[in-house]
Amino acid sequence: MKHTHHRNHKKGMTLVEAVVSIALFLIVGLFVCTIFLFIGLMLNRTAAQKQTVFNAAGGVEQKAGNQSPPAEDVTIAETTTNFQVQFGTSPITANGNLINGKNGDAEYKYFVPNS
Amino acid sequence: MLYVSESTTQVAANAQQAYFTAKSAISTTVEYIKNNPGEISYLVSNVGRGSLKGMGSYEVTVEYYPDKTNTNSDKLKISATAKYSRITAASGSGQYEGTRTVVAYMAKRTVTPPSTPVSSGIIPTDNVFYVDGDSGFNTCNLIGNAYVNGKFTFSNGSKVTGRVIARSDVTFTGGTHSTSELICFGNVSMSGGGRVEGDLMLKGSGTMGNGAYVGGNVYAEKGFTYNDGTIGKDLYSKNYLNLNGGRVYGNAYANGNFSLAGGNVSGNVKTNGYLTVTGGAYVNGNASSDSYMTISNGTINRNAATGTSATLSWGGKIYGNLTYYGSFSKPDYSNLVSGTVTKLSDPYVPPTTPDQLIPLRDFTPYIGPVLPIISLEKEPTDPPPYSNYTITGSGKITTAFINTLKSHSYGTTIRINADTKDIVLLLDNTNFDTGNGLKFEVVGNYNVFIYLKGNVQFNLTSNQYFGMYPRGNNPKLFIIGDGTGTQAINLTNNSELDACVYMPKGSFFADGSPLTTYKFIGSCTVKTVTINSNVSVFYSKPIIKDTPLEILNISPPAEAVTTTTVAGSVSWELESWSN
Repeated sequence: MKHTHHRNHKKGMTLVEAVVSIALFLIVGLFVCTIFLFIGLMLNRTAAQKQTVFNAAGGVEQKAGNQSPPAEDVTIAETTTNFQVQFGTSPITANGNLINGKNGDAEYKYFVPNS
Repeated sequence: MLYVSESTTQVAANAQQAYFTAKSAISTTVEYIKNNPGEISYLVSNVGRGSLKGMGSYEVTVEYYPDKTNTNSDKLKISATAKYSRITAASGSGQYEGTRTVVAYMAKRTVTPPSTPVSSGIIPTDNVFYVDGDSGFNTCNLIGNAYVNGKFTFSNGSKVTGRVIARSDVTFTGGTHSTSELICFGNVSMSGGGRVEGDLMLKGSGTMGNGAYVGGNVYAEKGFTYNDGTIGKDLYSKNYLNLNGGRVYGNAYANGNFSLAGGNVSGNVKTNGYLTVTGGAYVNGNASSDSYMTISNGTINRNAATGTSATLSWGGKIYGNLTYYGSFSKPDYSNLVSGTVTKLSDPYVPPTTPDQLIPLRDFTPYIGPVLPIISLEKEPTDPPPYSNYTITGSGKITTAFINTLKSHSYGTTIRINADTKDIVLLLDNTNFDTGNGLKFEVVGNYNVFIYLKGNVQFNLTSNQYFGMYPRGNNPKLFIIGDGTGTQAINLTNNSELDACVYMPKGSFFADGSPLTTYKFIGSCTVKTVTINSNVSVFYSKPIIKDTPLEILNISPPAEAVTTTTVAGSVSWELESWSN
């Protein structure tokens, strides 16, 4: 008696293949999402840094122009000091005020001599 | 990409400190020069250096301007380059170094002792045209400063590459007009693409519209209406300010009521009066008012503060915080203020007085002098010695002498030889109209003076030239009219004149086919100027020392000017920042 093996020619995936595919898809998807999330966070951080820098610099400019600071989160300090430039062997010095504007991590110093 | 974004941000942040540092170094140097003008040559021959914790390192150079080698120059250029890299806790060292260069210019002012008449800060011969009356420039190209002691109309593509001072109203219409700076004692109307590349300073009020452009700051003493166009820096009005469109890239300040009915302000807006925001106006910075604030259709991108009450309607939006003292009204259930809304109870004290917000500008340095009449004391009676196509001495130019010149063949060149002495020529009720393509060239190191007396028309026409040899020298040819009759210079066709013209009651007319070179080179002081046909003129500084025009250096201003300067000295003042 002759036994004949009938092969199953239906196309498709086995359960194992399906599970593995879904797992791979999820892993890749998670990776991509993480990348995008990271990029988004970094861009937000950069924008926040720029705004911080802008506010701090603006505060210094405003103070130098005898105007009130533009943003409430900017701290402005002013100290009497002098500024020196060394020309050859002779230093030249001007007395004035050093304006220090601070906003978070951003900090700027600007010297305004007495007229 | 992330690394680039991060590093670019850090470099920009550090460059901002470098900018402050460079400016600090220049301010220090400027103050030193003001107090120690005798040390300028030492500063010019050395480079200034320094460094400060938290400010970085800086290098300062001082040089004479525009000619670095001219130790008698009236201007100084001071440049400072600063470098800064913030030391971070993480790295322990500086990263992402930022560099900025800032330039400032200083100008020398000669101070007259109080016991003598105060001289005007304006010397007529410093201008390519000094017009002692109303004037209109129509399709012309002026390279040099212009002073108009009256109304000034600028139209049809005319261009001035230099400073313009007008003692009355100024109108810019049609085409593109350009000037490095405009100072106006009256009102200004700019439209049709009118351009001022530098600052616009008005003693009256101003109107800008239809694509007009000011590259620098605008200062208006009696109010400003801005319908369209661009202002590159700050806008100041000592009175009302109506901003109906256009864009202000700096801040906008008003001592009076401020109406923002459209347009865009990149910086802050501030007023001592009412502030109304409508028409979709946008303020990228803060908005503050000492009085009521009404925002019915517009955006404040940051904080808003009012000294009394605030009203917001649908269409209005404040993305920052709002502080107020009186009342605050907005539509129910609306969220038109993104930040906090705070009512302050302490008595409101305006943070700035009107004069602190907008300091009053001094226009007196721009008042021109009383123009003295200069006439010839000892008049020659005989014709000048003339042979071999050369005038070698002084004399009176008579009709017969002009006929002699006319008898030469077309295009003959006639020399006026001032090799050994000044030459004085007199036109007494005689027109100079040789025509015939004759060219007149002044040679030698001495001056040639042509005096006009009575009615004189000085005409140059086709192919004629009257001026220096070689061309391009500072003119040593002086044409001086005493105003005792109708005196005029008329340049027609392709003629060219290189001279210093001083005719306070005379007129200057230039027309004809445009030249590839300049139709007039030198300096011209007259009562009226008429220029047409795309004529180009170029300023060349005449040397008036030891000439009758030297009196202009000490001529008193046309109006009383008070001065607080020190007697008998030279002072240096900060003139401008270039960035």
